[in-house]
Amino acid sequence: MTQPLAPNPLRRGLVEDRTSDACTVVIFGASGDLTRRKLLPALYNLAWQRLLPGGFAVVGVARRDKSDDVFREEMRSAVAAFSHRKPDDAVWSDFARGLTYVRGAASESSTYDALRAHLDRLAAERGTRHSTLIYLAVPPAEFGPIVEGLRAAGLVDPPGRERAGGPWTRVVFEKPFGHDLASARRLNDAVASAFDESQVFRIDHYLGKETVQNLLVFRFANSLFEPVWGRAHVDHVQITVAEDIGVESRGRFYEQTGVTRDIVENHLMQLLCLTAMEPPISLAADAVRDEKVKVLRSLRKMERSEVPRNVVRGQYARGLVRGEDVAAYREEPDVAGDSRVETYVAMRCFVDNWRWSGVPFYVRAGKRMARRVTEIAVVFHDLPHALFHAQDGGIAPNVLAVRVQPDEGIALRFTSKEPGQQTILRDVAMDFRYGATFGSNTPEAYERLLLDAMRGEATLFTRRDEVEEQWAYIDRVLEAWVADGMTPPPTYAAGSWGPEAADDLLARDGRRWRRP
Amino acid sequence: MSETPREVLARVDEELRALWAAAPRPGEVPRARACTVNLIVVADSPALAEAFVPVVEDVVQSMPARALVVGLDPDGADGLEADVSAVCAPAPDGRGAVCSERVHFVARGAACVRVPSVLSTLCRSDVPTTLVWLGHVHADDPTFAPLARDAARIVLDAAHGSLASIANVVYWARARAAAERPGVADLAWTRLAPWQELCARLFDEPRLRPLAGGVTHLTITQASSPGAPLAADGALLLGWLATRLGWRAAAYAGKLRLLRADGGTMSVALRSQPAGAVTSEALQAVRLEARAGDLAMTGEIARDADAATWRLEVHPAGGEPSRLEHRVRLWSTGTGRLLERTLRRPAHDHALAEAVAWADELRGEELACC
Repeated sequence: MTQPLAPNPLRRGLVEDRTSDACTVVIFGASGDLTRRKLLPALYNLAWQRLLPGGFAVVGVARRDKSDDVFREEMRSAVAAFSHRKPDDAVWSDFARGLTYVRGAASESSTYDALRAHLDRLAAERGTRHSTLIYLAVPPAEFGPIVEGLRAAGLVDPPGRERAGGPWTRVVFEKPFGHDLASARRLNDAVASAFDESQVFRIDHYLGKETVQNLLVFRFANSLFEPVWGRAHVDHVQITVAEDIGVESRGRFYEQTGVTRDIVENHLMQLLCLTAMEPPISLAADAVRDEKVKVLRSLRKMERSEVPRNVVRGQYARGLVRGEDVAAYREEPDVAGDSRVETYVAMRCFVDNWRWSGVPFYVRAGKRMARRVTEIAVVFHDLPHALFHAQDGGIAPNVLAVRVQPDEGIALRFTSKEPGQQTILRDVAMDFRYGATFGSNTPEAYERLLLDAMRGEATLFTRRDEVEEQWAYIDRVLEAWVADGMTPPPTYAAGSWGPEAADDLLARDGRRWRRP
Repeated sequence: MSETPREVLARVDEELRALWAAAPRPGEVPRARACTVNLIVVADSPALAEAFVPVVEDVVQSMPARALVVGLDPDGADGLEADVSAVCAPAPDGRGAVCSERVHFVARGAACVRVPSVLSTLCRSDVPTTLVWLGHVHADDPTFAPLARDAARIVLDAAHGSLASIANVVYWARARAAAERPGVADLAWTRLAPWQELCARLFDEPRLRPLAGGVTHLTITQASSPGAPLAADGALLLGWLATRLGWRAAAYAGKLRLLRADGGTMSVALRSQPAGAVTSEALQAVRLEARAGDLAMTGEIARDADAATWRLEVHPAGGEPSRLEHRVRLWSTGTGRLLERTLRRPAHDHALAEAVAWADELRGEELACC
């Protein structure tokens, strides 16, 4: 059995932001949109913040033939276009020295041989010590071949060596992780044939957002909220992930997925988990993820016959967004003229456990909605007895709204007396805004997630059982729609808040959607 | 006739309220007041306080605060002056501005001892207070002591004071009950952080880990004239290395020698280099030589303006030496960025307390530039 390595005594007590160990980040799909828009800008910003280790390199892998210099120039343009910090000559020249390119296809064994030789050279020249973070920024169909190629070429270090101070290998997968439960399991099995679960990092970039991370801090670092966080005080919870954009150039992708697979199965389920979970025993990755899995397992399973009553689909028609005419979904490029794919979904879910018994969670996600907003709203019970007379009928319940984006912050709505001789009640809000309190230091989600993956911190990544539980829940809905013959979803005007049926979903319970 | 402290406070209060009372005029951006900390800066001269005002204004751009900057002139004629302003930065969403409040005082003569009372009246409730003290200080100082007792964090700067000042405040803080113990930080210590990180990198590779216990030579080069004593930055670095690696100081025939944890001796040398563009007394280079078993290494970090070259040379017995070299950008040495970094660090830093205590004991020993 390998002995754990003695820690570096000069690391003891260092309080500055921790960089990762020396390593190489290998990006499969280096010519793709994700690499240009997110990954390289995030890595550059980490370099700018001096959060990358001394021995560091980035290797882009893609099919096209190009030199290191061409790759560097392309990446500089990407950083210029998509980074919130534009390339600074001094920072870029240091960073670019570590940027190199390997041509290769996922299915060719020569790709992995070339990659191995390249990584050996980087270890000698840049001190990367053979530790590797492999980022799969490729379509899911290529996940399997790449995993197999890496394994066959001996590019996967077993996890035990890291504990003894040896090199490590980690792999990052982008969503969608599977198309349904069966495909997610197949994919997980393929990944498990090469990697230990501790080496696997499945990204849900929502978890990298500051406000989402703050949800845990807000709930578990304040004694005020946790006692009222449950059925005794909460009437219902609304979670909204609304976008005002359409499918843009992703029509082909959307025809295969729809909003349920694209947003609900991952982002929305994660927001629900973080809202509903019990306090973890620690902040260790598995402790947090154990609690999230418990929430997913507590979700009340819907029988097929119950789906129509609890889930509403929709598809956007023509309408006005930000005052501009926009096309219907069926008129978008690469979308079938008779498409039945949903661009909106609203669901009524129940978390059947002690804390949340009987409390509905209304969740919705949609494209081309009135505005871009993601929020979690906890709506508290009405007053048991109306002591005051409210002029416009009834006193609105207290609402605690966590705004994930934009205007990140937390607002608490409550009732107050308007100054004057009469007792006139008004809804007011205590409003905490990140920007106004902490300035503009919020890092991009991918910066945090990439750095965490390099450090081996997995709390903000989804574990195998989480992914499979998410799919298990969503599969029932998807199967019910298929069994129902995939009838065309009701349409809603672009720029609205969804189809009328979604309003009915809450109206039947005597509630209504917030207008966030 | 100058205003009394009561009159000054009433005016300051009124001016602070007036900053936010008026609606923006047409064309003006809406301003939101924000405050995450009471930032009290006390300098031992009006000129130093004046020079620090832009630093404070820089810091509150990213850390909204009620900033109270005070210049002390204990030898001047009694009097208290104050100037109020808002310091605004564009809101992150581009809509409007986020503003801090800044009050700049000059206290002269007997008014100096009234400063804590004046400042406590102006501190916002329910946000922590940070005291930045620029100058020599003793924990019993009548201006320092009341402010320090109310502060959650005290920031000193060895460049404007001394290692003895820091040690004195560290010991005072240690003696307080845990619930009332402020964190003590030092700007010179924050300045050392990149050097610490680069020194630590020398031993990150697993096979080099044992060499950390086998350092044989340490050379510190500082920006100073020949014969100058070891400055605060170098002393803190030496204290840090010593407390991490278990070194003890011993003097042999007037020369400083260090004993390693394994009982072996090691030498330490101080070299000087003309300051040039670098701040006087700043660190210029650190060189560590170490041996353990069949392995020897030399690590060097050499500063060159805003960057440093990190070199590692490893000599295995009977094998080919290996060399690694990285160029590393150092953090901005601007005082504003340095203070901001300091304020974002954890309040309690045991490594600083240990390093200060170790270096403070060295004061009697001679370690001068050769």
